[in-house]
Amino acid sequence: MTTETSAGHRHSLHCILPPHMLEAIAERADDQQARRAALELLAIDNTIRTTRLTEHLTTATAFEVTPSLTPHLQRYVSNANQTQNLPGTLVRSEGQAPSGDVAVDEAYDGLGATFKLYWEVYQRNSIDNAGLDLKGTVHFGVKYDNAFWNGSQMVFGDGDGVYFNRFTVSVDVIGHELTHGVTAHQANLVYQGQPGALNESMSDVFGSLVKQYALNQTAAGADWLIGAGLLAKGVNGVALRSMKAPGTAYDDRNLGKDPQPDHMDHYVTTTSDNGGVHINSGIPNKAFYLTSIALGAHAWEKAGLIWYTTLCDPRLSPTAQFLDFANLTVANAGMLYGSAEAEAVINAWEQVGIHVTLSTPKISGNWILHYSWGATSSYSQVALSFNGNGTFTGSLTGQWHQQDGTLLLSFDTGPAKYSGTVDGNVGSGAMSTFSGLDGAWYLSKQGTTGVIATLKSSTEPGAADAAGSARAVAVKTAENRVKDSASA
Amino acid sequence: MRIRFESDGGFAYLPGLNRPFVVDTAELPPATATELEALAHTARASASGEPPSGADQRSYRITIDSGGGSRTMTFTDPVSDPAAQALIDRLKELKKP
Repeated sequence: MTTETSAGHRHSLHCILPPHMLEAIAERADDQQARRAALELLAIDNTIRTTRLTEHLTTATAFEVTPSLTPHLQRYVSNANQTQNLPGTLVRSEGQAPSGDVAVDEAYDGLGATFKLYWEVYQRNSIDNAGLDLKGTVHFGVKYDNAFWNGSQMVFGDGDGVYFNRFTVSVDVIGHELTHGVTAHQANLVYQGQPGALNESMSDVFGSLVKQYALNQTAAGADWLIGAGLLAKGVNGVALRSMKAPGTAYDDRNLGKDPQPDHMDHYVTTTSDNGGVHINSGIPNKAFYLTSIALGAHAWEKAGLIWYTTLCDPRLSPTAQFLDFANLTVANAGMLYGSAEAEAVINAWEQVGIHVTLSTPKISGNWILHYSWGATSSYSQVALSFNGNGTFTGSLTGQWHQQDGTLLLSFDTGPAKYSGTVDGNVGSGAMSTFSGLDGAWYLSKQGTTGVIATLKSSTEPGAADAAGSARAVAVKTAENRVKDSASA
Repeated sequence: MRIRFESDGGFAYLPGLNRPFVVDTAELPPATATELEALAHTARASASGEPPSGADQRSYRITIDSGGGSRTMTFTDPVSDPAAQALIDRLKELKKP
């Protein structure tokens, strides 16, 4: 069966963002910056779409070219009958009535719910965005206590009945496995270490969103559990993982305690589990939860779109570390929504110990300019505004102080004896202010939990203990400036 | 015969499931011991090569020490050899308290 909706038009095989979303941003955004970014991305996007289409056409043996203008939902659920032979016997395909086998029907419905989230919210047409068939096998193995993605289909065990119930019991488990397919078609994050934990986190994030979307839950109202109902009666635990409170899902005498960290301070270094991919995923999971709560309403809306856009972002490398991913979520939050949302994302990462180092922190507003020379340092607020082309400008006022025979720039309150602008480029790191003045300076942006972004000159002007001659030049320049300022 | 059983990874990655388990067939009831030893002799590791594509598969390592020497086999889901499947399932059950 093919489902058709008029929700959107597909122009390509792969997406970065659905074109209609970019167009909507470009049309509606009152934020000049977001609008320009969307327009730029639209232009780039079309180029990439063309490139990808060309790639597909030239590698037709590897990819089936199925330009899909309408969503294509085709489910196949098979029964392995307690063997480990895949895919097993086909028992329910698209459009067929419920089979009466609860695992079969849960898998069928879960695949449908997952498809629905990806299509209705992100306009993604199945795993590959080209209408790939969704295949799942249930009753895999004997008392098999796991679920996995084998690279082309989902596989679910019945559970052993002692520790686990059947693995189709929770729709987020189905969303989790299917999302491994999505990730493989997008960033293809390497299944090891931090990129592996990001890969796992993507599956937990969108697995949870499948459930929240199906139940129409708000971010605040959702349980944020992965595999609720999966642990058998008698096990001391509520689920396999908690995105809201990693490390608290279970604490059982036989199964052990949930090992997930919720902060980089507790990052687990291990050779097990591909370097702890199911352990350290707690860190990015928590960051997504915090972002969702901060942005309010439904998690699949703003937070989900920021994460989805990042998963599809060509800048996301297969070997991305947490910090690389975090930086892109902030950039995408700024591009999609604006500075308030970008700041919310920065704060979320900050709370799990990831200090975003933005190459493009487009967070306009009050920043702190720090200036130091010798043993003395001073700082002041400066209002920065960021331009779409990566440059920024801010205005500042200050006054000169005489201290220990040295002229110092200070930003103490009082009548201004200096006024000027600070200009820079976030891409190159170049900044200009106090031209000719010696000393070191940088800009930082305060968030609710501390510094959330910094801008430093790529070539820091003279060291704090600069040679006397350099200092003399600087003092002279400063005197000139005071003079200029007074005569202005 | 001494058998060491380890598992790793999986969507359901729980520390307790992955705790190494060692069993000496001499300490098992005779019927169970015979069954386990037969499976251990028959089980064959899958022809391995490249790591599997996909995600969340569990992997297993079984080391069999029969006095005359030891043999280690590794497996990743899905396990193709029926004797290996049965051996893994049996060890999982024996591991449970």
